[in-house]
Amino acid sequence: MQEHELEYVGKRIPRVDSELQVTGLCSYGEDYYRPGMLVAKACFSRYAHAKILKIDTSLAEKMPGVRGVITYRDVPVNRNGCGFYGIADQPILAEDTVRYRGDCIAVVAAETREQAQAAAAAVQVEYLPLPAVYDIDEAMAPDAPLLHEDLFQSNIPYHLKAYLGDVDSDFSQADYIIEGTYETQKLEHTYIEPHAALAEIEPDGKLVITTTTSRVFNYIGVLGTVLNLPMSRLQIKGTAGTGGGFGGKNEVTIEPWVALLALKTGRTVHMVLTREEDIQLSTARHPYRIHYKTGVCRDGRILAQQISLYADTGAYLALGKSQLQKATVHAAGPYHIPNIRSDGYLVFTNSKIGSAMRGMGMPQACYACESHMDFVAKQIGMDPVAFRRVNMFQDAGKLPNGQVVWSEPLRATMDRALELFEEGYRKDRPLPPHTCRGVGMALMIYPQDPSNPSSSTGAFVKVDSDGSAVVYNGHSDVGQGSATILTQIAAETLGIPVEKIRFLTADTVTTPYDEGTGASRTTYIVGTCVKNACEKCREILFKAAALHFGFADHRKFAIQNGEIYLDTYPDLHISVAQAAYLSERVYGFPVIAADSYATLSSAEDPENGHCRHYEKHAYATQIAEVEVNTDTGEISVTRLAAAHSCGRAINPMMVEGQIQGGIQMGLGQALMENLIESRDDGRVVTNTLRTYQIPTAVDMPRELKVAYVEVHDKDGPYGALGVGEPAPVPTPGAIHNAVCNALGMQINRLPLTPDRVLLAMEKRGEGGKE
Amino acid sequence: MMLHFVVNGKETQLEVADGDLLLDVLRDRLGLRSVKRGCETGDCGACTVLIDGLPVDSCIYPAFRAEGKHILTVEGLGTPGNLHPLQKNFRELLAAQCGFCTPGMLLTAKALLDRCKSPSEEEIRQHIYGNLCRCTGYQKIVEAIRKTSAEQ
Repeated sequence: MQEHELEYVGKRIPRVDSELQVTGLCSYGEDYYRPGMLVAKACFSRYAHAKILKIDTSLAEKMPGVRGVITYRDVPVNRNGCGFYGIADQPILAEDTVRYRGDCIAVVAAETREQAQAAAAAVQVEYLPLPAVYDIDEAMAPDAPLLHEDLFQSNIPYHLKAYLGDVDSDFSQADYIIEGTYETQKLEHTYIEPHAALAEIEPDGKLVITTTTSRVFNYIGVLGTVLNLPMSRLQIKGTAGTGGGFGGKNEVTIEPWVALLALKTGRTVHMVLTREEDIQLSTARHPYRIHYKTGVCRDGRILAQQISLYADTGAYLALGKSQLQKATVHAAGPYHIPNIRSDGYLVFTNSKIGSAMRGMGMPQACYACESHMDFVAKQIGMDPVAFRRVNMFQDAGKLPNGQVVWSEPLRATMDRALELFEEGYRKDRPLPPHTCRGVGMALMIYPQDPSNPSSSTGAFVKVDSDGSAVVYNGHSDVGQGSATILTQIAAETLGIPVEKIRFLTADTVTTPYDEGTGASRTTYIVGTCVKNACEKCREILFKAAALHFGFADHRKFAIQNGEIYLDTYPDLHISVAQAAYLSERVYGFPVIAADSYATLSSAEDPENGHCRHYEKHAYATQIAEVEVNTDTGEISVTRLAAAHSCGRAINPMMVEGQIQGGIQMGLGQALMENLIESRDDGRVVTNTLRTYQIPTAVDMPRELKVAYVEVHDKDGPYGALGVGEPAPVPTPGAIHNAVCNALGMQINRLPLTPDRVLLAMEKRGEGGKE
Repeated sequence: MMLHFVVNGKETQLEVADGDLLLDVLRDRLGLRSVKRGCETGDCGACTVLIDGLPVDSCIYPAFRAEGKHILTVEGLGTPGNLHPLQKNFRELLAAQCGFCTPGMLLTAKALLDRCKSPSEEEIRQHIYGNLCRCTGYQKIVEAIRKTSAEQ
């Protein structure tokens, strides 16, 4: 189909739920209120690591308004393991051991929030404190206490490999060998809506849980196991609106608790976490330490690179392995390096669990890689842009997992970002006093759609007799706008206006399986599936049109502007509504279709980690300009240009929104966000939005220019690929490089807070490096 | 004690206790679900309502202090089919992604435009400083407010 013919794809259409959003009528987790419901509150561990000697809930049970208390004794199968990889290392409620402060001992359901809170505080627990490990060094020390002795021999549950060529022989050919170590901090997703869930028992005894989640089918798998209930007795529904996820609503947290309390009390149970509880209990972005050893020639060609990555996954695995795999495979960036040895290690600590967060290990790996690229360029006396041009992937590249990737959009993003960065810029802008200015760049390769071992989805579509359509798919729109994008794809394929399409999502009973929202897989995987199912419906409509006009061959029909017509006889046309009516009511074949779509990974070679893990890759370039106040250490990002590949922009406005929001998240990682846990007792210290600061409107660059580069993907629906997940990935590297450029020194650790900048400057004054 | 106030133009009275917060009274007692609970410490602005035209974090505002005052929530700003210009522009320019901060953000913006017809970009950014958004990077929010101001 020609581009000019597209009616709905490529258009700046408002979100399908936007009218509800701006009028306050969209229902989020806390809005699922039922008369007479009970309210749940949890009792969390008081230690980061301890044996539990005794749990006594008798006092709590007798408190006013209390209708039920649950502990591990009430959990039929007390294992979670987040339902992805089958290693169930996390209890639903702590039994004999607590491994971080978010481990929950008991949960109380009472008539009011205050009563539940009081009773949760009255649960009596006797602990035997154990030595705790709070960072990767402590956890990897020879005498470190083991967190999961029953499952793993050490605190390193996974060592992942991605090896290409022969590193050792090529280091000897290099003119320079340059090393650097880069560190990142722990981060909170900071969706504005905390977790909330409602459990109800239907008259026939079925349990329905409505919750703020990105993955209803992961949840039903876990809950079915944990509650020992067949899926036919269970239903998980996403809330109509979810106030952001960013990967933080991927794993079950409070859902088993409200379910168990509903079953125990026979009442509806609601639970809404406070911000403080949410920050303690929910998952985080893994802190990383990444070391590079790079062998490079005088002309700038990188010959060999050895990389070791250590990721702190906290107390439990969650999606730790999946994010480490992304980082290990892509830590060398989008660069031709013939010999790479990349080793990733996941490390348990007695701290908040690391799991999926927008970018999944890549904001850390990209920051480290791009900071190291600048450092190497500086060491060999090359311009950092020229150094990247010498090494970057052209039309294709080979990753250290042996995968060959299509990388055509990378150059276009670099050229576009360079162009945008200079657009309308006055070079003679005065510099404020005591300030220095710097510029930094970061390139990005981002793996979309990891198949572990598959990434699959299904869709149903029906067209009703007035030409309306309903699309059913089990993914969740947690704010990113996927329901709108997919509606546009359906509208385009069916020739039905967006307003006449309903898109039903995230319900384990009424919508077909989808793995869930994440990894920027929805536009590509679900989009392809929806398009295919809509094409099947279109075929049925064409058959009705063919019967109507008495043509034998329905394949000669096409849809344009809601009309089905024949190329050869433009006067013969019938509306989609008429065709739908005829096929359903007259010809006897209602317009319904289903389809499924999946990507599959190949088997992994344990020796070198070779595997086809990732179906598609996104590319981007971001360039930042910063001003650093040398008196206060404060950094202001004054300009930022970003160009991201997206295949085709199904909705340009939403592509821009994703990139802008991603940059905000990346800027927070670069400059201010830092989740701090006490080294005395493991408690999260930054447990409010005052102490855990995310960027405000004032912190964002005044000159923020974003662009999307459209190089249509051969498989994506209408050429589209995802754009949301990778948006924050290059930002920390670009900002870090700009700050290092401004100060003429390396800092190599995030966040670049004023005190860290001043300390680094002070140390440089003394001739050292931080 | 008995609290008398005007909520979205309607005279309202109800019994409140000393410790009751305005957020809970509006959400749980009056059913105004647009007022969102994001932090309960006055840091995120999701619970913003206008009290006599000024934006206030209702999660840390004692309900009894609203005595005799006029409260505006998004329910009173505009309805589907009859959107306030700010709501229309927030919708059309994608100033809302997940939408959870949107009611508070709209009210903060209204307070600004009521007092200042054509604020500069810097004034807009300073004014919405107390309303956190994690999705948009604020760019399209600022654009929607500027467009509304230009259309006035």
